[in-house]
Amino acid sequence: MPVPVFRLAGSTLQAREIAEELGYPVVLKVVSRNILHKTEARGVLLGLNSPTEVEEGYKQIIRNAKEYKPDAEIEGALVQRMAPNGLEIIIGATRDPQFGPTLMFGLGGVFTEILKDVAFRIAPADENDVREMIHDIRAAPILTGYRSQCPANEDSIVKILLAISDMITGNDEISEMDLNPIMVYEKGASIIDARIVLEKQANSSIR
Amino acid sequence: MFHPKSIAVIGASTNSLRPGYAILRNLIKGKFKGSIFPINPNALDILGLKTYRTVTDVTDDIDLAIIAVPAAIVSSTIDECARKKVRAIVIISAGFGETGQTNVEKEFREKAKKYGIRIVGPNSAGILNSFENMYGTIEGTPTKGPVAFLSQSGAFGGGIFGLAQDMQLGFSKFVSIGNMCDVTFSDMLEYLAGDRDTKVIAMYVESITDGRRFVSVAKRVSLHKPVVVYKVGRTQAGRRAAISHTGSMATSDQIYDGAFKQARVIRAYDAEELMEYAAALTSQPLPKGRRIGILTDAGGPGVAAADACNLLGLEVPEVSETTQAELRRFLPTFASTRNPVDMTFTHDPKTYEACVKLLLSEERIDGLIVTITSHIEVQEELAHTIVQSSSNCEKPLMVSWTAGRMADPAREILRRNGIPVYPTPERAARAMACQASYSKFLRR
Repeated sequence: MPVPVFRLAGSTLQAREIAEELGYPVVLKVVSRNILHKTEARGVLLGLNSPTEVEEGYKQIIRNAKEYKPDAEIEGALVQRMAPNGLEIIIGATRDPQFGPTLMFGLGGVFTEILKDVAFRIAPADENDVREMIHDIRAAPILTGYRSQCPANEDSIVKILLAISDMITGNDEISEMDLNPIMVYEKGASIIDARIVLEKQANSSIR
Repeated sequence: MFHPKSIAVIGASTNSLRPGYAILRNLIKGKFKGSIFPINPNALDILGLKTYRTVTDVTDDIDLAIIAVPAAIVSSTIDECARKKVRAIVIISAGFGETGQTNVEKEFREKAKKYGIRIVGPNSAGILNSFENMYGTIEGTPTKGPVAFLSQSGAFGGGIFGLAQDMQLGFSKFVSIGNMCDVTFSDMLEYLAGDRDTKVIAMYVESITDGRRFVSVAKRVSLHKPVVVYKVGRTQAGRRAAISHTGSMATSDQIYDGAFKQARVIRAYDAEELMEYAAALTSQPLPKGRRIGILTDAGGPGVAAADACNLLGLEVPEVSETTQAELRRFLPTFASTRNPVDMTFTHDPKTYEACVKLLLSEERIDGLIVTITSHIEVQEELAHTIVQSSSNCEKPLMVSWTAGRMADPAREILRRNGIPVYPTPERAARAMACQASYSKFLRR
């Protein structure tokens, strides 16, 4: 599945080196098994455009993380090429007590969080189900483009939904999956952040 | 279960307020052709039927036992039925899972398996098969028809019969499914798929206990006959603490929405809607697309119908120039012919006839809604005209007749001839949308 290139940096110097290698702009995300909500911990910095910004940024997010959770084990930070803006969507999977593995789709931000404009299908879902699900949401017309928002190709959304459908039905130890946000472009898509929650184990955040 | 030759009512009662009496009364009233055996150790005769002390005292075979005894003795009664080699049981008795005692229901399920008996209930209001004159229910003796109705509430089920009666809609089967200790909605769907007396399955649902199975069964069954569900929510006992967006987004009802769509099940949001959709689906062909024509005798309802159609995702396209030219031959110069076609006020059935025929043959539309207001004096003639003008048509026709009870004679004529009639344009529009949705499901 499409994920922007990333590498783990364990020091300020490493962070800078990786940024140089990947190319700017980059984002930094703190990596700690004890911190699940990176944004809350102020452990995410976007749009860093120079070596100095990266170095300063790295120090800052480590500081913020320690402030948020003093006893956290901090491995370092992910340095990731920053994805260009596309249409933000959210794809998720959960295990519903009635229906079992269930998929969710919605547009990012207020659409999902405030307006609850989301659609569900029961996994395993086929291509038909998944295409219908995408068009179920009221905001579906935005996919064809709107003002400065470029159109988002449906096929890559379909691919990711089908892949998640396979993953949640095929892996009993996965209890929840959250791909948020996913940037969808005219061609292709990029999963910016994802979270997978496993049953009966410590939560782990996929990088 | 549905074709018993003999029925025992265990817990039959001489008290006319008890279910054990009501069921006997309905079985007799419905003219059940088989044998009925009331079971009650304290009576010799109820409603003219010889009454036995226990079910094992009856010498004949008993196919179906309807149990209406106090909760505490239901379990032992099931054992007695097993000894008597009863094939199916309906438990009217209540006071089990709904009061939190799910262990007892588990016990019933285990007995069902052990004895090879299917059990409906507990907390059921009974079952009926109108084509066998078998009305083993406390809820009444509704007229025979093509709709099978499964209800998770017995009482609500009875009320819905009344609504259906008003629409002249009859039932093939009714199952008050109760607490589903054994027979579930999914089991009933599978059975009804092959039931020739049933053309549409309507369901009133509070909760589905075997969600995944329901989706896969309904997906298959809905290809054979439409399934319409009216679902209400239950108070959630508690929600899992959600870590991710997905978990917190999962409001149970939105998931049901998605599951129903996936299963090709049509959803209704109130009891009238449930029966209106059932009525449309049993009587009218399905539209091949979403383009709807509207014929009206007054501007207002035509506009209302057009609005409603658009809001429901149906199109109201302009009809062809040829059709409009034809229409103009019958209509006054100030009549609108684009769609909605407004005949303006007219009593002349010939105008209706011409317009209905023209619009039904217009290739730009897939279905027609006719809105009529009042016209009480000529209602029967109008109704017959509409019936004749649309006979043998492959496109669906729905009528909205706004006139209160004075138009009941016209409604009766239309319904008798398989044309659904609704009190307002909006209701006709949503019934048309329901047809279009089911049509789309089948074309998937």
